[in-house]
Amino acid sequence: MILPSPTMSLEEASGLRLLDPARLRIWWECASLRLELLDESCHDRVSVLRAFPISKPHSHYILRDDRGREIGVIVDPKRLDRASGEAIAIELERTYFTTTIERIIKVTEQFGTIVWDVMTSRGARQFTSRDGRDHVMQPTPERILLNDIDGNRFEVTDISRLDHHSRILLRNYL
Amino acid sequence: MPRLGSARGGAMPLTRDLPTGLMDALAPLGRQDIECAVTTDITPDGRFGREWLVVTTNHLAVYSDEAAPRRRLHLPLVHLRDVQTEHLIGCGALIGTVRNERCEILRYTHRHAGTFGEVASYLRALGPHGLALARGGDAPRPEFTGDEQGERLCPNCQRPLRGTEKACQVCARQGQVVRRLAGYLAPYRWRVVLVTVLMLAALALNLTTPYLLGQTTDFALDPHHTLSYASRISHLKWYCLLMLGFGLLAQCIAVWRSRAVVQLGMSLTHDLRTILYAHLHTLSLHYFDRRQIGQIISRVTQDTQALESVLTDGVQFFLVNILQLVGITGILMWMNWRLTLLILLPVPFVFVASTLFWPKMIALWRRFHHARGKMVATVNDALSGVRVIKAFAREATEVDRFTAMSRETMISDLAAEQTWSTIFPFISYVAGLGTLLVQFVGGVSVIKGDITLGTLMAFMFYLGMFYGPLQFLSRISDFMARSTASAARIFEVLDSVPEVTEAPNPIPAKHLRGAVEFADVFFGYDRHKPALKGLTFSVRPGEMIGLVGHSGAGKSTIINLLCRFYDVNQGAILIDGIDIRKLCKNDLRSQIGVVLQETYLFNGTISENIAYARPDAPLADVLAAAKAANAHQFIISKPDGYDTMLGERGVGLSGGERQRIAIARAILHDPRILILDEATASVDTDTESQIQEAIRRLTRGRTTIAIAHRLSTLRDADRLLVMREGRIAEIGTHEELLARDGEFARLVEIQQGMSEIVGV
Repeated sequence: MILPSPTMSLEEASGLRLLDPARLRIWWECASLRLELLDESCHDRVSVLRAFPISKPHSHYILRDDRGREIGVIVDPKRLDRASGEAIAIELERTYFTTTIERIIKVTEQFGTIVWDVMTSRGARQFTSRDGRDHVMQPTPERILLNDIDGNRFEVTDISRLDHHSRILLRNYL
Repeated sequence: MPRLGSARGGAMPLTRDLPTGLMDALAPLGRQDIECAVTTDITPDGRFGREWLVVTTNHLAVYSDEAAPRRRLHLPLVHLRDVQTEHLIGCGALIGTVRNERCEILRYTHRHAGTFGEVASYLRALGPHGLALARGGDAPRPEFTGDEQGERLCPNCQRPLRGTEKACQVCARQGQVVRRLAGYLAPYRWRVVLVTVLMLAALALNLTTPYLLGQTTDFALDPHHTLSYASRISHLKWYCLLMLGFGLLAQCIAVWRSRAVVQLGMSLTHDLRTILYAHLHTLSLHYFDRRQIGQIISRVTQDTQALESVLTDGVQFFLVNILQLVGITGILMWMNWRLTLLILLPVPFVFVASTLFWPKMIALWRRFHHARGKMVATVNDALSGVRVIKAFAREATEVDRFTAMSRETMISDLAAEQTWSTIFPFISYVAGLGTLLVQFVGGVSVIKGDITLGTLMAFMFYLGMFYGPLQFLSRISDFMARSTASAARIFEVLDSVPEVTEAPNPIPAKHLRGAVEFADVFFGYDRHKPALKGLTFSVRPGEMIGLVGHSGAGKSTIINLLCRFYDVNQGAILIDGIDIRKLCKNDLRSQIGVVLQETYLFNGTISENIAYARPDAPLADVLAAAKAANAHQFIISKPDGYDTMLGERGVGLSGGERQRIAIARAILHDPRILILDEATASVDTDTESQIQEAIRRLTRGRTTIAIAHRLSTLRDADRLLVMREGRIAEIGTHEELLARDGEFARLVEIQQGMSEIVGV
């Protein structure tokens, strides 16, 4: 890799900071996520984003301070201590509100829109998506993401785990 | 008598047709060798007529008047400098400088443009040699290697032959098209055999039905038959069962055949498409420059589809129909030859009428398709430019324009449909007259007792199966013509030879230092219109060179040549002292990174786009590259982050965002040589400063060649190269060039004036 200095990595050159999970601690306090970088600094009202929310939802977390400035990236959050991992999971659950479809009950086509009646991880729901393939993303052959006309996202994590009836309905409208 | 090209022991290609009169006229030149002799087709007074340009060891001469050759021009080569072709409208001129005076050597039509482009290169190359000759030196003499482009014609069809090809591709293709097509079927020969066998079986079974119906009539239905009631019922039952069985079997076979045919067709289309697409990627940019992308796309998609329909449906229907026709005629002849002759009575009419009718129908349909195409294009055009239409309040005009197109579509469609619905029933009626004749004559024979009622009934059924194939066969020539046209378009692509090819033993170049040298480079996208004229400069490893100049000065051409999208016509480009034509093409390109003016992002996620050249790069590197390119922040602010889909179905990015993704792509690619083409051309000042910062990070330590219209953006360049009309006008640092008060200073002045205007 050709860099300004032979000893400099691409990360250093770019200013990207990779955080060592072993040297940080994250916890909730007064409805605020706090981060302590050991022997260095402490941050209040930290926010967490996924760099690859679809393809790698469980790695490459980006931590930002209360003013939106990037603190660093946790490449492998599995190496976090359990309490920190759980604290981050709560924040991610809050930030990324996705709904998993468990069963498709009925699909109706109406004037260029599709109305889906589904049973989700968050209960029964009806949503409307546009016709055509624009509302569908298929990151892997098994995984489907549907966007409704308001921009909400519904996910089928694994088509093969849906029941037969749901699979057929889904296939018809993909 | 002068000898032709004897210096190299063989006749030059262009000198072999030298007329005798000219040979005689050349005799007084003594024992000099003719190095090059080419003909032009315009005389100095602008009339069509032949003139000869002859280059001997020491002289250049132009002879006019073929019958009694007269020397019009005679120049010693040592005095001839800077030979160029001048591209005029409808013709061209060969221009040289003799004793510091410009002189037109001759003129030619574009038919000879390629040849005189070669002649100009050759004469320029002779320049240093001429000098060496004048000084008594012994420099190696260049050779004229011009081909006969534009002069050789196909002996068969008189089309001009291209390059070194021996036979006209059109002629060659027509002969080979069927054999070549059959070649693509070869891997599936057993499937083809299966389909054919199934087809024959289904046909044979179908042909039995009318016969069995006839038998049923004679043995079971005929009220005058002597058989007992029980026996007739039994006959009826058995014949019906037989027909039921045969019908079911024929249906099963037909289903099997259809499935086999579909599979054959799909596999074949897939093969053709893949071969075609893979071949397209081996072709040089030259190929794409000369064609519309839409046209190429239609070859990959529609023409392969058309060819599939020929190879499967077409061949199949053709065989089925021929066999059905032959089979039925045979059976009918065997049953009753007199009645058969009656059936054949309307055949010539049906055949002739169909033959006359079809071309008319096709012309009408073509007109309709054309009109519909134009209408669709108008809609596309107008909707793409809807902002402009609204801004200029031209909605009504656009609606009028569309209405006109729609009316044209309606009229042409109407003409086609009405013609069809008028003529076709008429042809069917005449074809049906055969049936009427058979009905009458056959009826009389039945009444007389010459033939049985069953025979007549079988006859009538066979007749129903007879005229369909006949009409199809009258269309076969048109069908074949259209499919061979599709085939020809596909083969045109497959037969195209890449112009930029890998050297026989390419030099691997995994780690280049990045020293770039242009050595007397001549290049033109059309060989006779040079875009670069004798360019010589060198770039040190790690140096940043800015290219400056008006549009069309040759800046982008330098970049295209460095990437080896095209090969130079003359001279060489060296990287680390090695001619790039000898370097392994993949290695070369893997060490060159480009950030182009129009950033092309593929359908896919942002992270896939950044990692385009290094799909296996660790994701942390993708993040780092985006961060270095000042792209990280805006990417993270999107809900899907680096997984955001781009392209047709994805989100739209602004020009500046696209640029930064392209820069991130180049940073991750980590090339030794970096090319930046107008990277900040169309962005606002804030974005530009972010991009500039990203570019500074990117260019550090890399050999960089950057083009920018905004001269201020090239302030970081170590040296600037000012281009004018394919030549270097000035070269030096920003300050040096300003101090010189030349072309660059003038350009800076113009831009400052512009920004003042903008500022006001």
